Amino acid sequence: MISGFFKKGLFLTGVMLAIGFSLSPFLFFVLSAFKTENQITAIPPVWLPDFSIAAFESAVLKHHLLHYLLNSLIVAGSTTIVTLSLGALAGYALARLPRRPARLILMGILACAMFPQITIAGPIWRFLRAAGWLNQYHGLILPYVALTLPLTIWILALFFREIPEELERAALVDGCSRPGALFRVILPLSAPGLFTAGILAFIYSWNEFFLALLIMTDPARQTMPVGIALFQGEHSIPWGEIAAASLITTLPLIILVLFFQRRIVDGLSAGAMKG
Amino acid sequence: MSSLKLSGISKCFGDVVAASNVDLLVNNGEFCVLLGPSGCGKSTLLQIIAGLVPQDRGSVLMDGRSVDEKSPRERDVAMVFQSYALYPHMTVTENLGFALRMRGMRKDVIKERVKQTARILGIESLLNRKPKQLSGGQRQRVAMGRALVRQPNIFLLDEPLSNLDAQLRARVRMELKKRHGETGGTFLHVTHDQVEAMSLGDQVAVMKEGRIHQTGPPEEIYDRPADTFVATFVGSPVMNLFKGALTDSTEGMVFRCRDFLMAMPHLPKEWKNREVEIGFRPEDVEKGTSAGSTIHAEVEMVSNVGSEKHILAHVGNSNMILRYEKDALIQAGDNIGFSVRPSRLHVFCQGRRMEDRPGENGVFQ
Repeated sequence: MISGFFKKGLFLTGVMLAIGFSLSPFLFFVLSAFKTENQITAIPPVWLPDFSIAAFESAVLKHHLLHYLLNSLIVAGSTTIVTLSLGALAGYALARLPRRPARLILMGILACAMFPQITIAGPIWRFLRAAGWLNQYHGLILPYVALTLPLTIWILALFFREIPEELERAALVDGCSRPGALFRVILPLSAPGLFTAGILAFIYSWNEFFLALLIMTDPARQTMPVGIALFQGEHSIPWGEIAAASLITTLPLIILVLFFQRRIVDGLSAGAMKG
Repeated sequence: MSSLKLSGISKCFGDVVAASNVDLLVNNGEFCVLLGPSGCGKSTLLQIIAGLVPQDRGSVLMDGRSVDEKSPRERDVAMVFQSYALYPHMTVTENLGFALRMRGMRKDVIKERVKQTARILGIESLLNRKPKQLSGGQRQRVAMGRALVRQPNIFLLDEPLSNLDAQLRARVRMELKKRHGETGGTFLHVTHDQVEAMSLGDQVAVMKEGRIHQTGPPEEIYDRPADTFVATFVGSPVMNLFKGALTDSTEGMVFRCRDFLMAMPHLPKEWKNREVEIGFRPEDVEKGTSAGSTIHAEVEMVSNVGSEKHILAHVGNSNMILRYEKDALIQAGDNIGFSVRPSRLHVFCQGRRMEDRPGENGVFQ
């Protein structure tokens, strides 16, 4: 009894420590975002801020935050849509291929995702320059799709495999073509898998910094992470604005995940079978 | 409605033979049942007919024309799956109307047809529910409805009753027979349940390991099984089979096995010295010691199934099951005598039925 209680306490403490450890930098930033200029640089540090929104005001008005936000939305949104479309087709094919060849191809796809970004950055840049796609939305979307596709294909292929093949056969007998069966039966049932893969692709392209910095040199096309990094002037680092901007950048992701969480865990395919 | 013909269908999955040179003819409007133990290739055969799985060899013909090159859609068959395969994201209405929508029918026509089918099957009150809100029996009805709402060339049913409890199964079986009468459609029904096969089928095809062993009306399957597999697979309790040899005697042919003799005067002399198996069904015995050839057996166990009693008895090491009326006074340890009318005996040689009609002496069927 006592040892059970002790175990539970230990477990809870461990979880709390892990959460605290992961969240503390974020919490520090949230607090900083609401501090005044003086509170940020004060020594000893001030813990509780005045809840001033000056930093937000400055980030939005002076640093054109909304402009970066729009660029990020365009790039991350397009990446997600293109990746999901291609990933669904590839994943479906792989889910229905015989196991062994499918495994080989999946392994190959995974290997593609193993290259360190720095090794492909040069070729990508030269390719985009030759194509005249530097400082273009699609110039950034293309490498993002290439980088997010492997994981998307993996998630969707494994997900499709779990959907009973009889459902698809029923659709074919009922008069669907193969693509028809995919779009009318398989995809609606794969919503949780699509959301999971979609959110991961979105988060990746929303947060990506290195390629964005490399490809988008024109401030008019820069995304949030690059925009925020370039907040700092020659002589000052505006911590308050950076914190405020970071908070604004994070919010859409949090909302997205919370909003779709219910759909991700929903057992959508319940009831198809005799059960 | 169409007729269906399979000609020399073969299909392998790796080393597993799912179908081996299968020939089958289902006439227009006929109810044909494919009967066989699980894993014998029945379902694969249905999928080949539906166009979901390509065959390795052979041809599927509908109304005499090959449909081998046609897609499932073009073959226009309706199928009821064992797992029901209802679309979980659609309501019952949408499930029923899906095939009609896919064929571009007008909305009001679809609505009318769905309503009518739901009325026939008694699922009108469920039309707005999703499959997960239905019981097993209700799901089964929706699955049937999804096929019946159409007017396809052929109805394919893949063990549609196997997930129902016994009582419901008996009821749905009757209903299915009725629906067949009403639609006049061509049905091919797959099952491992012999009662289902015998009671539903105009024709029954008995299948094992990818091969069709016998095709015929249920009576013929039961009364004249083509081989020992069909003889023992159909019928419950199973047919009694004994290995032995035929010998000649002054009173005609005699069957001799390790534990008993049986006079078989109706068999032609040419069959003497053959190794054969003889079989008789548990209900085909005449109790008592009056008849010419009598077997004396010791009762080992009596199992009362309500409407009758099944007697497990043995002569030496040969076991047999006999069927007695329900109020027969028999206990374990009793000695019983019985005989079998020659016309009720089945004779098999090398597993195949031997024809005992005069003039066809020794000819294997």
